[in-house]
Amino acid sequence: MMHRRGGNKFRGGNSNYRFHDDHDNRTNNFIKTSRRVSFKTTKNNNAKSLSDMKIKAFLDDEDMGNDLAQNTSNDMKKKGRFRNRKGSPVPNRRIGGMNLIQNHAGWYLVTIHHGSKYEKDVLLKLLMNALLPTVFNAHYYKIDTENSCAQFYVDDYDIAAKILTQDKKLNLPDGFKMIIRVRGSVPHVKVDETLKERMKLAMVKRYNPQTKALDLTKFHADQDLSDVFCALFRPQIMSAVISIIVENIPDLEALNLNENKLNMFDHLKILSSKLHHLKIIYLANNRIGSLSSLEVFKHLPIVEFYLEGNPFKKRFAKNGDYVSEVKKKFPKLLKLDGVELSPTIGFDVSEEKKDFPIWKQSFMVNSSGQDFVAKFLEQYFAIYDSENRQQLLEAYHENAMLSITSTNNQHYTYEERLHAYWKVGRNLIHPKGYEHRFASLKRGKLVVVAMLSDLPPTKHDPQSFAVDLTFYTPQMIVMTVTGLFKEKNSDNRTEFVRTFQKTLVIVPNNGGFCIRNELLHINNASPAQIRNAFNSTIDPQPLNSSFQSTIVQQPQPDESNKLKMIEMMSHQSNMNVEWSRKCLEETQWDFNRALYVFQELFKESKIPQEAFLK
Amino acid sequence: MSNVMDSTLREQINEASRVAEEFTKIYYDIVDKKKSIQKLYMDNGLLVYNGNGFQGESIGNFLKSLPDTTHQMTTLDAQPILDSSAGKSYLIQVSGTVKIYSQKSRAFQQSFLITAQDNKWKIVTDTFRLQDGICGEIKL
Repeated sequence: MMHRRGGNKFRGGNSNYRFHDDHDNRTNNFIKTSRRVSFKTTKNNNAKSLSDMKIKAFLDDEDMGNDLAQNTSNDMKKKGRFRNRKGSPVPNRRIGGMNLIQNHAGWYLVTIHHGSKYEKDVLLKLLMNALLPTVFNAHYYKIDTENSCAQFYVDDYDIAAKILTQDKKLNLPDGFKMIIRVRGSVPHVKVDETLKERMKLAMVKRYNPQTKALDLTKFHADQDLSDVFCALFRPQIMSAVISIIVENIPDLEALNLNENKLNMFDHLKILSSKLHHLKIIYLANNRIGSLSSLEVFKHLPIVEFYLEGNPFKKRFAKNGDYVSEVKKKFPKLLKLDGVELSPTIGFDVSEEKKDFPIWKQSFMVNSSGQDFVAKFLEQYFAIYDSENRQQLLEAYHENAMLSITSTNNQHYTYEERLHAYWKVGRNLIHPKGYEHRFASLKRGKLVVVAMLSDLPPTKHDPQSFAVDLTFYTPQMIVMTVTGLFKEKNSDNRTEFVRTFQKTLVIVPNNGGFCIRNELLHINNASPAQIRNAFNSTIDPQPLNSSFQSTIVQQPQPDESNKLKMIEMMSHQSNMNVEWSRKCLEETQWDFNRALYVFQELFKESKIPQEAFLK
Repeated sequence: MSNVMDSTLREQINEASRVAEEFTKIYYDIVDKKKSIQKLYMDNGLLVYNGNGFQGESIGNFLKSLPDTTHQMTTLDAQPILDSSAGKSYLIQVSGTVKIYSQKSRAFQQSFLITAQDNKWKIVTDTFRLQDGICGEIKL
């Protein structure tokens, strides 16, 4: 505890300096009774250096006879107090002390003056014995060397008040009385990564994965955190706990916050948007003063509350009123304070649950496009993830177009922000004029590849890819690929997981294919995606066989188109018309498929010579 | 010569941008209000919704059968497809958030290939994905 000189000036007996005086006084009195009249002078001696007084007090202690000292000091105290009261407009500290003001946080700082001179065990043993049968925990015991006192915290008003009643009643080993001061105060703690990691470990032990329940009852009293003040009613601690939950157990269903001295939940608003499955909350024996504090939970699917032992309950004359009021706020509640509730009968106006299609990994408008897609993506991302993206020049059309959009969310942390994409990006929602529209759409393969080369180094996760092949004709292919990738920072030390979506228009070019148009979107990954990225256990199949696709068959081309395709096939494969037709017929007039099959068979020399006779 | 080409290209890019703005406004208004959407698609148009394909007339019915949605665009981008085989066609890509069943907002990405047909813009392909689906779970 720090002394505030100004603040203590008028507080008479409450001043620490006064205590020293008192201490001084009683001992001096034993040796030299005339010292009694010097009461006021010593008060004026506040300027006297503290260490002088300490030394004096210490020396005096040494000389002192126990019984006498006690009597004299008691005697002295009475008179001193009497005088003090008379001279001061402030009520004397004894009365003030007895009426220890209840602190809403429920934490109290106990200060034992001159406590630095004694062993911790000695002081605590004396106090604990005196309070029996009441037992208590002394939290965060420490020595304040500057003021030579010992300090610790208790987390209960009754205990704090009882400790205060022992002021000057207990004999210290050297015969002095123990001087005790108590005031409402909350221990200070700094939340850093180390503490967060320790909190996480303490929480792991309190989590039950079977029931998806996290028990944070009396979290501040956790044995693994006994040396720090990890009390959930401190917003910064609670926020740290919530972020650990959101990051690690987003599917949490039950949360027990009993006995944590909680009184407000404003900083828990984030729960509603992050924990969609949280339906059971225990909040018994906290300090909730008003039912409206629970409003922050109203968007959660709450079915059970435990709210016993909170002050707001006393406001309801009848338990029935209390139950009604809680049910009014949480109509889906089935259980309150351990008692089953009769279900609320509602009106049939709510949205009916409609079928929502399940998420499928890929869609192929034409099954024969599967090999093409797999090969194309494999080759493309092998180069894209390499150190030299220049080789992508081959993948782009002479007049290719590329533009990039990225989400720019003001809530992102500095690391999460997508600077690299945003600064070269394009967004028609926030138009910056025609010039920007034109310039931010990169045109020509040199410009396109230069832009891609400037983007941060990446590693894509092929297991995460979802591919939709929506247009697949010999003249044009349109596909959309979404997935996850790791972005390496320029210093190569930090990595971020992002999501991307690429929409590609691909056209045939010199017997191969190249990208004509590309729209690229980059966004941050969700916590679940960050957890699952590059986790091959989720889908052990390699890319080219992992498509569980749905297919809508393309209708066959008409005769004139067939002739065009045969001509193209013959031109590109060098096979004659007859064999070109054969190849296309066997691949259901899927040009790319036909070309692919031809190339594979040609490599294996399985195409007879007659196929090339024209 | 190159100036003329540049000027034409610029016009095409400007028009793609303008059409994309108008198109998306109309599209999400229709989808969110569950109005009739079939006419926006080509007769053999294709919708791929989280990997599920719908073609032709089944598109309108499917979109109407979805839970109530509210789409909010965050980014919009568009390019003209200048390949001769494509006719007058634009590629549009949208990212944003969508509320389904008045639940929390979810990130989505969507892309459209639209083409001019008898003086009307029609959707050739429409690809929608909720971002949560990638290595995650979509629970409704």
